[in-house]
Amino acid sequence: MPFAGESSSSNKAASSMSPPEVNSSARRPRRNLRSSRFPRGNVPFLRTSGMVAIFLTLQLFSGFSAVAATTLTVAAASSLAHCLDDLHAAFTQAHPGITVQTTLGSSGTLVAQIHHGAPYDVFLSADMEYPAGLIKAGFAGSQPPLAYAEGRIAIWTLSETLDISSGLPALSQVRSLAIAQPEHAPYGLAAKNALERAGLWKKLKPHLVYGENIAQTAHFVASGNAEAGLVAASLLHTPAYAGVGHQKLLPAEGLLQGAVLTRRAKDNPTAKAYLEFLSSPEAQKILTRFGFTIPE
Amino acid sequence: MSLTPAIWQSLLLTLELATVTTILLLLIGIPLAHWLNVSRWKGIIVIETLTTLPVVLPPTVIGFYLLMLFAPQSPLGATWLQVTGQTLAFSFPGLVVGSIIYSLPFAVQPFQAALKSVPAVLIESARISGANRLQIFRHVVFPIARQGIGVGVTLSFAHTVGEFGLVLMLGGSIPGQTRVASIALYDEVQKLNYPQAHLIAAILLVLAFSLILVMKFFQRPESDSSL
Repeated sequence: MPFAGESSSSNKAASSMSPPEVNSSARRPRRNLRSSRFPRGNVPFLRTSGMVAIFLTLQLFSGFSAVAATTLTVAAASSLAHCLDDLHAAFTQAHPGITVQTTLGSSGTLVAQIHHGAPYDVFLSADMEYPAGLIKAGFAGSQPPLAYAEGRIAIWTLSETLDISSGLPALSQVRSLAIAQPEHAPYGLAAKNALERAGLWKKLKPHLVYGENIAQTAHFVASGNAEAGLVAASLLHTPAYAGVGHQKLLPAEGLLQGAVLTRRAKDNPTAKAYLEFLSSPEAQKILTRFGFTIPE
Repeated sequence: MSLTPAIWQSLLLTLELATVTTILLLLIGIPLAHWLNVSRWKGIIVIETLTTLPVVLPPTVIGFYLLMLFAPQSPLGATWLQVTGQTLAFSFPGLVVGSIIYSLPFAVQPFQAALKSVPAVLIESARISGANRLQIFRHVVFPIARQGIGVGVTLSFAHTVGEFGLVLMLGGSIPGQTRVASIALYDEVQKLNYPQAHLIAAILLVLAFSLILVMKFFQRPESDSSL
């Protein structure tokens, strides 16, 4: 008795009980599964795909050899997004033959990765404490961290109704305020300190939204979901955010940005040249253009 | 070494999110699965593709687009803001919406298989006997499809417990609201707080194991369920 029982075929309707359609090619059943056009298998296809496979494998290995040439890996706090592109362009122009690879993240995350053997040569933190901690734990060279710049925080909002010209007190009625996670992002910690000093921390805590790093924090504001945010001033100088919304630079928090060589690069001359470059006038010009101040 | 209140909170929040999402997926998923099974509309294949999409789409993509969709500038975000006074992003309801999309295929596909396994002749006999659709579902379809539905429920619950990328993009890590256990684990690791991280990870592992165990129990045939 035909019925559409446990059907593995597609069940168009519960009551489809028509007989199966006759396959038009069933009149001449195929006995020889191998195509008569390629009696020994599809040689042209196999030849081409074999060549492609070899080509791709060679590319893979050539990729490795490119890494073996002088490459510097830099792990940097997200506040250096875009600024680092300009810095590295200037660095590679002054030092041809060197490739710089960049990884961005929140400083705390990068420190955790370095603890677990991440292959970074240089670590650019958004503060001085994280690099000092690395040195103490033996994961960085013995030189004290280089304070190559000072970062600033700014209030940023896309809202047309929120007037931030008076600074932090203007945020007391805000619906949601984005800051970076204070526990592992130095800009978040600086934001928390600034709010505490202004006596607004307790009041605003229920309205806080935490970005995984300062770049995500800025994105929360840029997408309009957070009414305002305390973001790195350097990000507000990037092409994506420059001139967008309303910005209010806050007084300096003493957020010195520290650079340090990791343990594996402490004798690397390229890495040392990189640190020297960071203190050079050319680098300082780029840093200033992105809203950093240069410490004395 | 014991659970801090913050971690307890994140675990309870995870369970809360998974429960709410699963209940809503039951309510949405069974009608949707039924429609996907019986529809003769040519465009149904597009709907089916959209339903299956979250299986392969990186959760960060879903989170990224949802963040745009929830923004106060968009119609959805603006409406929500007007009605509730809160943004949809960075809120528990926002996570629920995201989780429903994220776990949709893990509910709908087992539901579809379960509903398909009900012999059509039984449904037709019931219809001839005068049962309405709700009675058919309750007395004919559900008892047979029960196991498959159970699989879908357990799978979507477990999948929501394991959510991370979506919540990272959309949540804002707010304790008690959007800081679910997977985010809390990530935060503890970043703080180099490994004992706490181990604890959360172990609990989540045990939870996941138990859920899959339950699901396997649902999957075993208790008796030959075909006629």
